[in-house]
Amino acid sequence: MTLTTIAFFIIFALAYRWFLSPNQRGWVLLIASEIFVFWISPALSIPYLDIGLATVTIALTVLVWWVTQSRTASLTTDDKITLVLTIGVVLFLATLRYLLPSWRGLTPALSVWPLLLALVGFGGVLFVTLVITRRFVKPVSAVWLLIALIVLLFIMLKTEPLAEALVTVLHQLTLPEDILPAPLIWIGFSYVAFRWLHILFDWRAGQLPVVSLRETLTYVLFFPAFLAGPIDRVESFSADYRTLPALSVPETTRLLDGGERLLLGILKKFVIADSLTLLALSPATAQHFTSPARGWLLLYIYGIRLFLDFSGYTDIAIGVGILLGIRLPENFTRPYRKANIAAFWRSWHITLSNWVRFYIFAPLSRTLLRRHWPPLLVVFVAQVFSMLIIGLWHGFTWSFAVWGLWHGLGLFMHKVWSDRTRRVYLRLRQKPRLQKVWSVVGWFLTLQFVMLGWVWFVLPDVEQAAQVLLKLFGVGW
Amino acid sequence: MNKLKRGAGLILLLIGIGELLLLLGGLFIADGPTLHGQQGAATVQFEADRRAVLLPGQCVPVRWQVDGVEAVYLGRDGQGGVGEQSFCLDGTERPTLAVVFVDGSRIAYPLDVVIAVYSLEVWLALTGGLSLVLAGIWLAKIAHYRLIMQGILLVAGLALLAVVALWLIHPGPLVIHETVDDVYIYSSTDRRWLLDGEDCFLLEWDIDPAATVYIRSGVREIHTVASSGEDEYCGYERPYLEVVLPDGRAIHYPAIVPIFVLPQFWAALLLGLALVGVRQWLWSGNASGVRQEARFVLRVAAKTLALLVVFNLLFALLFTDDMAGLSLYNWLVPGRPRFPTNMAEAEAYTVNTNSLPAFFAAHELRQSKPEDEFRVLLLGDSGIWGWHLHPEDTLAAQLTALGLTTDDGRQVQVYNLAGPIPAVDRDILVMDYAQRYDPDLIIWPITKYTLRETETHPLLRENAAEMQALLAGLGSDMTAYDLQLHSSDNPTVLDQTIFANQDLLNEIFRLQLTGVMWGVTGIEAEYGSSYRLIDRSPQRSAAFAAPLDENRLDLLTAWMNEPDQPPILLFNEPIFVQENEDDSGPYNILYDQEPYDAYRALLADRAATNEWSYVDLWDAVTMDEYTDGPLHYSPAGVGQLSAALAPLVLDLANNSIE
Repeated sequence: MTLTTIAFFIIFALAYRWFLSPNQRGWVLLIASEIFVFWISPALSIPYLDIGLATVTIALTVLVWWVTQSRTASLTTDDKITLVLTIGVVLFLATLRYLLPSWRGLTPALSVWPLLLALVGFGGVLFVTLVITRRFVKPVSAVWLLIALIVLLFIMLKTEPLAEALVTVLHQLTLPEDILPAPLIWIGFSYVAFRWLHILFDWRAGQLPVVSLRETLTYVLFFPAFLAGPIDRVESFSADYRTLPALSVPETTRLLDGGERLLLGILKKFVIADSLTLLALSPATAQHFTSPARGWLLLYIYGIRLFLDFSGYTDIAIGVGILLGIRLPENFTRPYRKANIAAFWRSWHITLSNWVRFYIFAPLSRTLLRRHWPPLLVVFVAQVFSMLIIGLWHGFTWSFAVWGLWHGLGLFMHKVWSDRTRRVYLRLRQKPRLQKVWSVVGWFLTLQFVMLGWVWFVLPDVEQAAQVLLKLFGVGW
Repeated sequence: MNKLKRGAGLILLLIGIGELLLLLGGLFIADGPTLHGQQGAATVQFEADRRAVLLPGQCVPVRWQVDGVEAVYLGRDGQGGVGEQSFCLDGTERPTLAVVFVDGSRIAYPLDVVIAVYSLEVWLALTGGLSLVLAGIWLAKIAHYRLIMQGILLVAGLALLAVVALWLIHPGPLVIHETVDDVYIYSSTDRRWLLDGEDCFLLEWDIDPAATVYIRSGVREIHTVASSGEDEYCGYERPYLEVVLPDGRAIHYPAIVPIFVLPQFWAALLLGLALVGVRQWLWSGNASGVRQEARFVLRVAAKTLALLVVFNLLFALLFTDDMAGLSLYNWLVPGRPRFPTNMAEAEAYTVNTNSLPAFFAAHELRQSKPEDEFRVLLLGDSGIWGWHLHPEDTLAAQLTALGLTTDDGRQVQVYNLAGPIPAVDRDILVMDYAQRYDPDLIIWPITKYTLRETETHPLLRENAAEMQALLAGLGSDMTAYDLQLHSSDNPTVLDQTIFANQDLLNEIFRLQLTGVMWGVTGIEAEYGSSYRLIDRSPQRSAAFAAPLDENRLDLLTAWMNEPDQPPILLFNEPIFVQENEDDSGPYNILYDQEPYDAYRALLADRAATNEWSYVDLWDAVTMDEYTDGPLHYSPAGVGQLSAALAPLVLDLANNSIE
């Protein structure tokens, strides 16, 4: 996301507030979000893959909605209009390539492929899949198939060798040998996939509210949160979405709230975090710091930069959301001020942590407890596995896996420690000063633990990360 | 009264419709302009299909029929007597047919074809016509007049937004073409502006007949390119073509594609939104609410603007040049051993700045001088600065490492004040500024390239007032310098605002940030693991050869003869000599043999006449110790130079003590 993109967001939000009649707002958000998916897709070396991936994102969202609908219910007028509009947007954007040379990506000449891809990809495959899933596959099986497909795609895209193999195959099918294949970038997939899975898991658990196709599409593709989250819950999103017609103008409080979050986000991300990038720990600087103290300085700067960068993006998304009438969930609540690692994870990337808590930690714990595993072992396995998933969500690499394990073990140790010191802590409540000291020590240790964990996160090579960790403590100079 | 209003309304409506029809029809439907010319028996007819194109970069078909003439050119291309071609307008020139008659006279026939979005007249006529139509409908109160007005506003607004969208996607090219000394030079970009720092543009060039062409993209990237070709540049890159003419002169063509959009673009966007918005107010009946919120936003914008103005004025009042010297260096982080110029390294903690105070504030020279130090300043170009060399391998570091001690017991400490672009005037400016750091001796390496005729060094332009004073003091010819452009003799308040100084502030800020990394890592950049040794075989012509500039030689003479300055050891830098098939071949890409030998003789003669401390070290480095250029040395090569210089430095130092 660049400042230009944000400037467009602001202009759009003001035009949306001032110029649209109440009933148009939901529709405009849908169309804008769908267009944004195409707009933000980068040009890829494989011909038409940019438009193809954007189309698949939308098509899969329709499919996710479709398999979670009651088989007895028929399409509402709203759903039909949404479907027609969505197909119209996809076809319109595909057709634009015939008119505008700069929209053809790396393709040197006009071809019928974009339109055919859009037609076949969106219309054909989707239609056949919809019919098959409804006619020949049980609803539960269809949902599980879709979950498996999404997880498979996720693993494929997040595992570098697999993604490279996929690109190579596509490259060999479509391009001459003298063009080098570029990496496969499916913009926003990490967040979109978790929204799809959230809908599917909730449907399976019988907790999915009734949502229209329009709400589902806008929820999954909502443009302020498309690139960097947060991962909202569909029931919360649709509740706001349904109140859009009642969004009143003037409403200066909303303008102020949204504007303030936006500016705060821009300040955090583009002014401070981007300036700190040069000073932060990186694979290059990790080789050159000349003393442990200097290494700690780089590490702390990295931790601060990462927080400001990510929370800045979230602030921008929340700010734009407020202006548009959608309240996105908070993703960070002062994580570096927390006195223990569990509290840290309740305040760092909250929506992802919650997602993992709901769909990994809780079901896994319940299953293991039902099988009479010892409670402490259940906690250990569930926490370590959950954090491993959070680590691998960033990419299927050893570094992220170790980072996830680091935090999983940290959470488990904290659990054991807090269980054993519960009585001490309760007694400390009578002594505020001692309690304060206890909290400060807890905060200090938690902060060091989190910062040291970033070494695994930032350095792609596990061996280098281990060396840097040792060097930070004066070992290995 | 109502009848009167209705009548007036209908008249306005008719006038408005007429104006719009005339405008749109005249621009896009009516026949294009035609020119007829006659010169003796020769006749010329030149015409275009349309009077206008909508956006820059769009093309219009042009036709010509010419009889009884010597030659015909459309743009740069020679043409036959009859022809038709598509002419693309770039905003800087109209389709022009240049006709050379048999008597040798030449007449240009330009066709008046406009780019609609650039034309103020078009904007005025469009806005005026639309206003008349709307006012007419309002006054005439024709049936369903509100609905019709909404429709017109919506259509006009959307049409403008469509133009904006087209403009965004299809910006026009930036084209340069001209003939210099019979060399036709053409360069264009496919974009007129970029959306953001990640956006890219394509630079195309064609030089006919083929000439030596370089593309420079900042100090660190210079590469030779074919006479015609294209390449992509992104974001803040500012490439420029350097075309070397047959007489050795180099001409520069910058391809500056700014990262913002034109005012006309914003005007179209705002007008489009306003039209759609006005229509919405009329329709929804929520005008008061929107007005209230818009007023709120405008108030916030106005207060922001006011604060911005106040901050700018405060800055203009408080900021002085000396404040550019406020620095973390030599205080929180160690001073730099050489100026933090950007090398072409992947990860570099360096910043190119042309602010002398900021430059020197970052240098270790700024530390106070110990009593037992004999302070030597070393000027020079990239080879002396240490291109691709670690700081400890540079000439200054190697000379210091020799541990030379003067007769009075002081240790010789050499400070590296060299810079990658060789220029005698740059060196003099730096030496002049460095006088405040109490040098005991100056080593001034030069080469013929230092004295070449070239454009004004960027450091001089940014410090024009200081350079002008210096030149005046030396009695030099100031007209040879392009200093008036940036002269800050009488800076206005506007020249001193944050806006006017944002580049400088950015450089100073980044210099501090990179200073932290320099302090933490002790390196200036991720040095390449190895450098390529120069190929000695005869494969290069003296493509960079440039004539010696007498003005600059006089400037050197004037400076060397200046009294009241520390002793200067002037030496001619070692150069790489390639193996040629015949004895008269060039020494390297910079120097042909004859002019270079003449330069050496001239310099030696001038040094002898003026009794300078001068030594010619042109062959002091063995040929296998050059790296990627004729003036770039390996660490061992620098060692050879250092060994040759050391006794001379010590002699001069001891003489100066006596």
